[in-house]
Amino acid sequence: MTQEAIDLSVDSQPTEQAHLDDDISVTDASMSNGDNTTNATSINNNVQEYTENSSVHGHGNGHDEMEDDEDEGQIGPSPIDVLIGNGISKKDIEKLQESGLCTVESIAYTPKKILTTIKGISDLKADKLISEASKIVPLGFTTATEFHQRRSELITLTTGSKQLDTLLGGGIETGAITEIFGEFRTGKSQLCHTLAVTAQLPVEMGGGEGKCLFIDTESTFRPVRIVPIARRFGLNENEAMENIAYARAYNADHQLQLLNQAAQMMAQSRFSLLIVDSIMALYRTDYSGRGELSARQMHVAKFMRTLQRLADEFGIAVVITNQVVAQVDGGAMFNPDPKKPIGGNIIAHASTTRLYFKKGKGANRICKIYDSPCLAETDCVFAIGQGGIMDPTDESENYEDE
Amino acid sequence: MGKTDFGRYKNKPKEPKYVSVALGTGAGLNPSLKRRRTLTDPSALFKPFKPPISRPATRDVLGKGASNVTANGRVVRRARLRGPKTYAEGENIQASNDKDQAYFDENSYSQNNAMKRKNALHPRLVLGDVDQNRMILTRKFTIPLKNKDESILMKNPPPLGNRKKVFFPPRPLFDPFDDLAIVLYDPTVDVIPEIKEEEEKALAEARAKAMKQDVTPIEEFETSTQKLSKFKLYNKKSLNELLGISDKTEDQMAKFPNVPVVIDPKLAKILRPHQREGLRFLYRCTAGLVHSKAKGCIMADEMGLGKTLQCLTLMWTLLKQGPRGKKTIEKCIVVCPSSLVRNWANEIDKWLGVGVLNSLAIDGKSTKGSSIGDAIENWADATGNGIVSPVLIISYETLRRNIEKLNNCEVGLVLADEGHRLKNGDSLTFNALNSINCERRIILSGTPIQNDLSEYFSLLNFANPGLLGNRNEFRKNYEIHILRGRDSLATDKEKEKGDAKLKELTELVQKFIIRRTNDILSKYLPVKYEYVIFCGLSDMQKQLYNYFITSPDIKKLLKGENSQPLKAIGLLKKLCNHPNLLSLPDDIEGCESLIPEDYKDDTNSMGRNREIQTWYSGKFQMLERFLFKIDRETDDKIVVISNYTQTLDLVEKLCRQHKFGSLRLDGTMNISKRQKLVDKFNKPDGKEFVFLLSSKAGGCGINLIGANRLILMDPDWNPASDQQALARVWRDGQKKNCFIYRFISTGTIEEKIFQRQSAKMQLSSCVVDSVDDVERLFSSDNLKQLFQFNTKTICETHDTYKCKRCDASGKQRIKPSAMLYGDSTTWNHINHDMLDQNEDFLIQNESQYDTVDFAFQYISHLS
Repeated sequence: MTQEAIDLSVDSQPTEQAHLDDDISVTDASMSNGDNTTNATSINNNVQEYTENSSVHGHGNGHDEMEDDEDEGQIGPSPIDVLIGNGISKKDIEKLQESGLCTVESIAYTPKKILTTIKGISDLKADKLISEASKIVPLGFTTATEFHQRRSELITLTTGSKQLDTLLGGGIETGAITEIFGEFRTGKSQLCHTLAVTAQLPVEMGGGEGKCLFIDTESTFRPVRIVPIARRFGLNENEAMENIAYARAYNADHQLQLLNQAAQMMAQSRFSLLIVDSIMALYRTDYSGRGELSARQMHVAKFMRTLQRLADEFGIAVVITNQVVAQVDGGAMFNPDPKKPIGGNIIAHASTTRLYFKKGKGANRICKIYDSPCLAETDCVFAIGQGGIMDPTDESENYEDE
Repeated sequence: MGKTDFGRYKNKPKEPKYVSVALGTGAGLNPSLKRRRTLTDPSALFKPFKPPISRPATRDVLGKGASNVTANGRVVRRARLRGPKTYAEGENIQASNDKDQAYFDENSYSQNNAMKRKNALHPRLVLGDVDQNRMILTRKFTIPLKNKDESILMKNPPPLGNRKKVFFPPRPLFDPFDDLAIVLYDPTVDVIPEIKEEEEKALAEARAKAMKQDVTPIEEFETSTQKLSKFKLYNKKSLNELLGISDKTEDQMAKFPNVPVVIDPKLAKILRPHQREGLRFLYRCTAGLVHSKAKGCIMADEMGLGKTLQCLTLMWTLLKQGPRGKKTIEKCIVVCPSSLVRNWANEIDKWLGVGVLNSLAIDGKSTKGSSIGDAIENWADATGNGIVSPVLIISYETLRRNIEKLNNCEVGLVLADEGHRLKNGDSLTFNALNSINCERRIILSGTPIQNDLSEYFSLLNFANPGLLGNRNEFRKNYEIHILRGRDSLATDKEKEKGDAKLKELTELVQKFIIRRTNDILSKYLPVKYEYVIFCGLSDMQKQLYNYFITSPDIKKLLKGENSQPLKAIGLLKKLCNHPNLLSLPDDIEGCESLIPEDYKDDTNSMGRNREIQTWYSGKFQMLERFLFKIDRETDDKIVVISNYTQTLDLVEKLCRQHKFGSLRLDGTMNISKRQKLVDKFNKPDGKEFVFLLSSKAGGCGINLIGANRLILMDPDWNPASDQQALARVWRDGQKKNCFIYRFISTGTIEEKIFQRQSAKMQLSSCVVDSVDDVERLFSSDNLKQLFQFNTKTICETHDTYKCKRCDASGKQRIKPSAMLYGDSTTWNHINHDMLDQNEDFLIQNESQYDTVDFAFQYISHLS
């Protein structure tokens, strides 16, 4: 590894978003050292210095804060390196990282069965890992009051349209999966493009202050659209594009494989959004007929489960789009709009919020809440314009429409 | 069957073969239906691709004049070239309307294609340098803001999703030590003693409660031990204790001192000194630094001092900052007249930037019909991060109708713009607003006292409920005494008592009201000349007027037999403007003999093109001269305001007759159009130089700084509504000297109205402005003279002043020492002889005619 690469990897550990430059040298030395114990302490050091740093700004007494290090450990996901020691070697950690388990949380959230399938992780080692991880990650109960408090401070990503934000109760929820489905040209991909930019905005402006990861299966990602959207929100378009990690998925297995890489990146830098533009497109063709239905659904379920794990682990917002199927037989006569999302119950149960997009007048589109744990089943109108998703205007309504 | 048909295959090499089998498989079939043989050599499919351009494209030949004949002669469909049909910027396929350009122009096409390469999206090319990409993707995230110096970049981002919130010690949002920083709250200087007491009290109460709660279950527990012994184990700990959740953040927060509250630098830059002062006042009130329980206040700056900007800054500050480092309020309601709803939304965007602070403006345009209720309900339900638009802008009427939707909603701040709407404490609007759950209430009004003290009480009672006791207590304690003291027939003792009470009230109230007069604006604004012009009636008006007030109807009225005095007053007021406003001779019985032969009654006639007979009205004669002069000699614009839309009809007609471009805004116009109309007028190069405004519809808040002259055709009973109307022109942004003319007909009822206005203004200035030496001029008896017509005088109002500066003929001998705006005794008094020496050329011009009897002149400051 080059010197630079080490610097970067340390630099981007989420626990130390506001570290001093000194942190790097401390951690750097210990990393190259390879010594387990020093490594652990160095991370502790980071946290301490970070606390000091922030309390300087607040005119506070930084030294009082040092006892609370354990709490500070929960700021971001804890890197998996913390587990080194107690019979867990660096080699084991590397193996785990390769299979997409890059944080202590991910170990705690993964069933033992999966851990043992990783090459080189024995039954005994898996037990060890789980017990170590559960010491760090809180896995118990909490009160509704406490949870309510946390949810009221939940960061939501703005969609760019006030109307749509209001409908969604602030925007796209972080830490949850939002599914958008609808016919072609109903604005699904446009919303994805807009969110890829708004995810980077400061929290005050309705963003998530993090990068965006874009998995594209239909080959519909167009960076040229990012440019005007970034300008609209006052962002530097080149930097904004550098903050979007883009991957094209070529088959269903590849699509799942990409999530492992995604997890590795998220452990190293702050991401706030993961987009899968058309989750089912590849499954629709990779698996065909009733015979393969079961296998397909198993695979989809696994994919969705991984998405949910990433959402829990990193608190990112996950946005997936879905295609529709027309119900040609049966109720078509009585149902004026016989569109159904594909993917069956697996997708339906796995996504937290489901939104149905419809074409409206001109450049206007209609969003309907299809399923949500807390939002009312209402709809609203938004518009697609140069700067991405926006509020409808007279102009957008009268936009020439063939 | 045709030999000729086969002729076209003649040259082809394989054709003979085909013909030879012609009588075989294809015999008897129509040749067009016969299956043709493939004529190409199969190896052609595997040849490497070459563009099938027939002529080698030589660029210079194509460049000029040859655009019709393109390189390959192919016509590209016009529609494809016409529109970009893509949102992508930088894609420079230019749209062209030129017909010739609609062809495939290879020259420009190939330029676009120069960047293109084969296999651009090949996976190997897309991924590029894997190591470098990895470095870019995994490096530390910074917000890609264009202007990096924002303080946002300094902060640590909060965790996403349901992860536990990180604790950060509070710190100021903006640097309080910056040179230009305006600190509203400084923890080292400002103390919040009351709040501490409150807190201790609350704490003590809470403790007492907790004790009680602690005690009772134990007692119950003990009494029922035998029965419920198995619950013994569980009852001791609360769930929080059980789970080990402690309110650590709160404890940690308590350790830290308060942080300064600093105004957003981008607003601080534009605030003027008096606005900073006002902001400090507003913040102190709303933050509870003045009184922990009374967080309301009245912002009573005169028009044009930037009340809107001050309140907007306060709103922005409270929404973002607080002494504990968190925002003080979450939601804010702005209530204003319906014509200002859009204006407020625009102001927010104007000062803070588009998209910085979202507002929900209920103005009938963005929210249609039935959805208004839903929109308000959604707004009220939103909490925490779910609040998309923290500011609700709504008109008084809409709010009143939808008040039940806001019942359960806690609102941080209510701004009542043009808050004198709340002067009636019994009105539905007042009660609706009062029922909002909000402790920070700010009334914005340039004219808090309009008619009497009980209105003032209503405003104060709204801002800080209960501060002055209830209405009756207030009346008993203050109002009666003060009013008695102000009457010019009052005894010395009464005066003394009145003054004492006034002082008491002022002391109590002054903490919650801030008022600055326009005078401080003189630094920034051009000079304002305000004229009250007493103009004579035309002969016809005089005769009609005399006839009407001596008619038996009025005599009955004065005896108290007729029940419709308002109708008679209305009639007289209209007559003073123009006889055309009345339908003669029906409105005044028996006046046929007084109507000249050539007089044409406008209102009943069908002809729309007939010219207006200005010579039958003193005011219209003068108006016509004014408009002519302005049109010919200046590029000034003028606003004409009247209480009667009929008057505006006449003026509009006058303008049409002389081809003066005019715009008109009255109550019939819908709200979204109003702003457009105003914008059109304010454009410097607009053709229209006359703006007709109905004072009821557009008196408040509208900004007409495109004009620098204003005529008020008739006085209103309420001086404040006149004041509001007058302030449309002389306000922030005005570059030219302003001339304001108020037309009053000499000796008529209008003069009485004007006098009454003055009396009200004086009441206002001694209560609100606490000016001590306002002359006591009018006694209650004056008002009975309403129906007298004083033909002898040149200015009855001036006569009542018993002016010591002027001689008997009304000539001013001593110039006024200092002019007080609310008190016309201190203004310049100008009689007809002095007109030609005036600063304004329009007034000078009037010295040639005898319409103007007398004038008062007010000059805002010396330039």
